[in-house]
Amino acid sequence: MSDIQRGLLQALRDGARERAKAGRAGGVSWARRVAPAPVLLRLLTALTLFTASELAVPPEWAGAGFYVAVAALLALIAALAPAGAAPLVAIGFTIAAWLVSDALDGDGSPTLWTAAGLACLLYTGHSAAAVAQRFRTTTAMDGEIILTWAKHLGLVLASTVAIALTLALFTAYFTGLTAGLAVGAGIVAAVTVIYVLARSLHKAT
Amino acid sequence: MTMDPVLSLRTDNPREVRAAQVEPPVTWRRTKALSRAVAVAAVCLLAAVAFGRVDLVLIAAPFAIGTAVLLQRRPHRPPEVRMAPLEGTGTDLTCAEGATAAARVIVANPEPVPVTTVVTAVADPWIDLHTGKGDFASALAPQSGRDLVVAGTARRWGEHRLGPVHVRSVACGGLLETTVQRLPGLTAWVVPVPDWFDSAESLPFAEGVTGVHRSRRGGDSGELAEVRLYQPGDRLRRIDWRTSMRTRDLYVNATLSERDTDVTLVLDLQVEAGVSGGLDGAASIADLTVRAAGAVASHYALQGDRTACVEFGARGRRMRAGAGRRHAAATLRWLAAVEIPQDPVPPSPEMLRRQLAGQRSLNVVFTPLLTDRSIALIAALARAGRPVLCVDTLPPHVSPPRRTHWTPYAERLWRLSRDNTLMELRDLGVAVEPWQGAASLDAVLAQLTRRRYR
Repeated sequence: MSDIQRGLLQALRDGARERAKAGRAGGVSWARRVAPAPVLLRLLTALTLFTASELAVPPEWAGAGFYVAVAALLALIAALAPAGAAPLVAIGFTIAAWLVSDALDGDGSPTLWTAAGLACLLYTGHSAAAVAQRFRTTTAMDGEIILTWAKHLGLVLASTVAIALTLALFTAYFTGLTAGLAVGAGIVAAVTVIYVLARSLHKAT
Repeated sequence: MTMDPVLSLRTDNPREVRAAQVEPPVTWRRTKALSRAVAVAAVCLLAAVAFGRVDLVLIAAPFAIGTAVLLQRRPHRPPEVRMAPLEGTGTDLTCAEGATAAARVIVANPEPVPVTTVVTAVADPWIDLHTGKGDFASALAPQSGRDLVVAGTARRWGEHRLGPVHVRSVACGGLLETTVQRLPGLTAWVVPVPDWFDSAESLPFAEGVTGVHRSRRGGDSGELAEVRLYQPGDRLRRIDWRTSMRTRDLYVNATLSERDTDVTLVLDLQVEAGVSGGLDGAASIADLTVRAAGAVASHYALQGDRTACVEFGARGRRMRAGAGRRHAAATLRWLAAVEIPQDPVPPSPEMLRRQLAGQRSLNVVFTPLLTDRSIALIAALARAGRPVLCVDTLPPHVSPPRRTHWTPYAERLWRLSRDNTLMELRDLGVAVEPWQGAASLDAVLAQLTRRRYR
């Protein structure tokens, strides 16, 4: 082996050693700086989205390897990149699975409470991703941020349960009006949402 | 209109001429979370209407309610952000090696809406940002302000950068956010922590009228020289009554006058070798030079001697002579600005020799003795009869990288040649001593003083 080749090999070996050392130091540094709050928020995003996608389908689907793998992958991507489109994809996948499973499995139609649980889980995942979207895993968070988010989440989930309760009462008394009720509630809710959003997003001159 | 051809000539600056980048104004904008909430709510409600399903209304409900609740009050003006040192209002901060370099990010929220501010700071590799002080999020109450601290440990002397700092604010539970505001950061001057140096030896060529060094001349001070017979002209308060009573003759205490001197520190900054590991790691040539010079300068300046510094390098900076605590601090600040350019213009030994102070000052040259120019400078000073103390700042662990199997033999030959050079310098009357911290220069200073008064 010539001196040039020996020098080249030495340089390659040194470079690889330096990279390994830098990688190890980076890992140790990350482990030292990691903050619990953003990690827990991301964990909550993944868990709620995965649980929602498992709840949305019948047990035989929920136990299927392919379905579990896809749901876990989407939940994991949503947790790792909460600022991107991944949470929307995961929520869309869950709702699509809910609709498709209901269409294919007509005799075992899901209860209203399952839908309420699904809504709560999806909104928890969505709001956790919204809060965590600009925080890195090493961002030290003020406790006030988590407290505000938890209060908001509690309020919305309580409202959802209240709506579910109201709908359950209505459907119990007026079983024949379910479809008409859905159309009416949907139209009223859509108009309300559009009005509120348009009013709040209107730029004051 | 014809254009002046001079205007199209290339400038010396290698960076291409282009329009100055103007930072876009910081504004609020919606996030993907808001789009997601609206999309999920809208799609679910449309599907509920299309398929006549109540459960889809229920799924859309939290998204619609949550978004409406969060957007009830939304901010219009972005928070005002600026950066300042932790103490004072200047544009740069000063701290010692191993201490904390800290700055304030002052955030003011003018809107009646709570806002979360995310601060992400970067810093020089020599500033280790503290956990929770470089990347953090803080909640701001409506119409309030807050000082957020960005801090890190300065691991090496020199001019470092604390920043740039990126600030982004989020409101309405993450549905709205501002664009990133970039703060350029602050310059952190990290002054070296000098090695402890203490010397009990007097300096040669002590002159002046007051000071801490005893001279060979008699004078009025507290440094006892001898007890001798009274002579006309002696002050009565100098009479040693105890000796006079014992010997029945009149004896007086004769004292030596105390003088100060000029100390000129010459820093050889032509080459850098070794990898600096910061305050707790291995030292490079520049580290050793700066810390040793800081130790010697602090010792003599605090003692009352006039201490000056000169760079023997591409920049050729000078620090005026002075004494006292303030001058010692100013010298450390001057040393923090030392840098060794990659491709330096070689300095002229003759020019530097002419710039040095009076013939009688002590010249302490901090040099790794790696270039002919520095050796020529020391030899020229010694031949001119100036007292020269050469502090060897080549760290013992520094050696050339191993390229071939001949490298160790070549290094050994080079070290032998360097030892020969050191011996030749000693023959010229130069005291050469490697830097070893406290009292390491006492032996060579004593040699210099003895040689002076021989």
